Amino acid sequence: MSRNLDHVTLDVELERQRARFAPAPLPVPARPVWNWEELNAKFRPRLIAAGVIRFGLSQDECEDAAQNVFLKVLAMNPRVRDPKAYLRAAFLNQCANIIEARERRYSREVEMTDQLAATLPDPVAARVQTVSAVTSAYRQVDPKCREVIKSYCVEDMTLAQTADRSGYSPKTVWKRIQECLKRMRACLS
Amino acid sequence: MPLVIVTAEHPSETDLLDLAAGRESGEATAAAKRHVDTGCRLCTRRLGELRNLVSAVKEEHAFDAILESEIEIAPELPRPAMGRTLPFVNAKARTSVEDIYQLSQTAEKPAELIVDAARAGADELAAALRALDGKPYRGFALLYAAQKAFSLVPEDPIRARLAADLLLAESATLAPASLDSRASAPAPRQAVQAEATLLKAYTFLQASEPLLAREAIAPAREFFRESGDLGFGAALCDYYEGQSASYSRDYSCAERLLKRALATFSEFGQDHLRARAEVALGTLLLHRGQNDRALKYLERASECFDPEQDAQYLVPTLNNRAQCLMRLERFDEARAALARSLNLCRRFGFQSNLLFVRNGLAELDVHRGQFRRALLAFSQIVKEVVSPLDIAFARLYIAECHARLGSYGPMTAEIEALRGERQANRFAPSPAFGELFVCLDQGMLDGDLIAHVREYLQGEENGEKRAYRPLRLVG
Repeated sequence: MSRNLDHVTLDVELERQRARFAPAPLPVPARPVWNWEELNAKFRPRLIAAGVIRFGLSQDECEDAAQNVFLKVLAMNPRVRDPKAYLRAAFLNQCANIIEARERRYSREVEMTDQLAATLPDPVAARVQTVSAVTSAYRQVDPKCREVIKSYCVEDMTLAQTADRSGYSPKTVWKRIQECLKRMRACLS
Repeated sequence: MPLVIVTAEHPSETDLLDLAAGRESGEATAAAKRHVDTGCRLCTRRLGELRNLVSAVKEEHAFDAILESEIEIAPELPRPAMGRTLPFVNAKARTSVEDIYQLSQTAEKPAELIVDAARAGADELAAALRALDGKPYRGFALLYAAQKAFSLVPEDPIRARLAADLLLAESATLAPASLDSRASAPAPRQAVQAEATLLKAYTFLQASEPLLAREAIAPAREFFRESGDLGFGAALCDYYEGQSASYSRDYSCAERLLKRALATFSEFGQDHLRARAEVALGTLLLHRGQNDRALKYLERASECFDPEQDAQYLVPTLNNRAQCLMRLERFDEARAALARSLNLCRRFGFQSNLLFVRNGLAELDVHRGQFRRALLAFSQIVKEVVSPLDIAFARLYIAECHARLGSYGPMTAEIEALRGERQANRFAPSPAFGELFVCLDQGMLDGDLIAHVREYLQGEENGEKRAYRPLRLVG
């Protein structure tokens, strides 16, 4: 009797051990947990405001653009893990399309040839492209590099202050900046 | 980008950056300014690039400052009196997007059911598709099913291809995208067609038919464009076409496409896709023998993947990273990468990758002179591999281990076996095999020659094009 019981206990233990070493089921790829309320009620007006303030687009144009990019992100839902970043990039591209279309319309109105229109620089279009390019470049350099560039270029910190904040020695910061600049310039070009 | 060697003549990058950013002039900045003013064309160009960089970074920061500001922005900004009449610019605009969001959420489950049905068989799939008839979320369900079915491709490319064909046929009845009209369909026909075509291309890629895959991607690009894509769809096409080009050894085209995909995925902030593009680039560079460059991409990617959610991508990344480190003779790090990969393989039961890891560990033993252990490992591996090429490499390693251990009889037997199977693999006409077998007949075979032949054949397998340099048969 006791032997039988031992047997049963042993089997259970064995099963438990087997279960421990059995391959785990492959997890389902990460699904975005979107905070829709935040995206729609907070992020959307900010996108519209950024388009109006930074690129001089009309509010209607920006609302159209926001509407379009929200539809796009929903269409790509299973592929998108960071909806905010997607919306931001798609919105910038949509703004660039709007500006381009406006330029084309304008050049037709003033009977400008396409060649001539292409030679005239459009500062707003360039600004939109710049933001997209820097975003892409930033994501291709490591976060510390990003921080160093931001403190130095945007916050106007000195080399010593940047070093102090990042925890590097001034010499390392100098090297870091050199590397970052090289990489950022490569990405932007 | 110009290569600048900073000398006493040319100012450093940070001095020029100070100048570009308009900082208070220190001695070095003043010297840099004087240098540029003297008319150095190189430094003028460098300064121009840095000025652009500084203004670009500031512009990006200003844009982000609005997005991240804590100030409450009214959902409805004041608008001009001449209001517009289109449905989504009036007060109901947000309601409309919310309705579409609800519709998309409802479509999630039916889309998963379609993928499960595709896994089960053709009849089940047809039934699942019929169940969508008349449902308001049908478009989204088809679109999501096409995207989710990508996970089916490694399991069963044939069924995934059938699913792609049926989804393509089903999409014909959906409303088309209308780029001119502002009231466009949320899940238009062209979007489903684009995803289904891309899915089909991926099945070709998985079935080792990269040329068919590249052919299939061209219409997918066009469908994405017609659906009003804002760059993301094109980047997906770039990624899959880049991989196809890499498989078909069109390396320069592959690199261009993958870099473009990488830039766009970075721009859209999708780190998991960015990491996948980096893995593809790293693998490509590894094949081309550019190990240092490959390692940078593979390291960045392996840090980016989540070991839980992205295990199926992380394992090959670690394996390739280990290969790269091995070639750079950084054996301890290679072993650590393989150990991490082995853990994941065992945990999730990745059998094919497990064999790759074992092969890597055995190779590592050969490199470190642990021939007895390597011999044991390769003797097991040769029994398990099925591809003639894998068998040939395993035999070469076994023969090399025997030679290093002084067991010339088994070494000869192994090379004899290789000669017997020679016609089965595509290296049959290789001059490297020629030298190996002639030396076998003449009794001149040794470990160095076997290693030399193996290294040449491995290079050839990776697409390196170089003439064979005989080691023993001079002239």
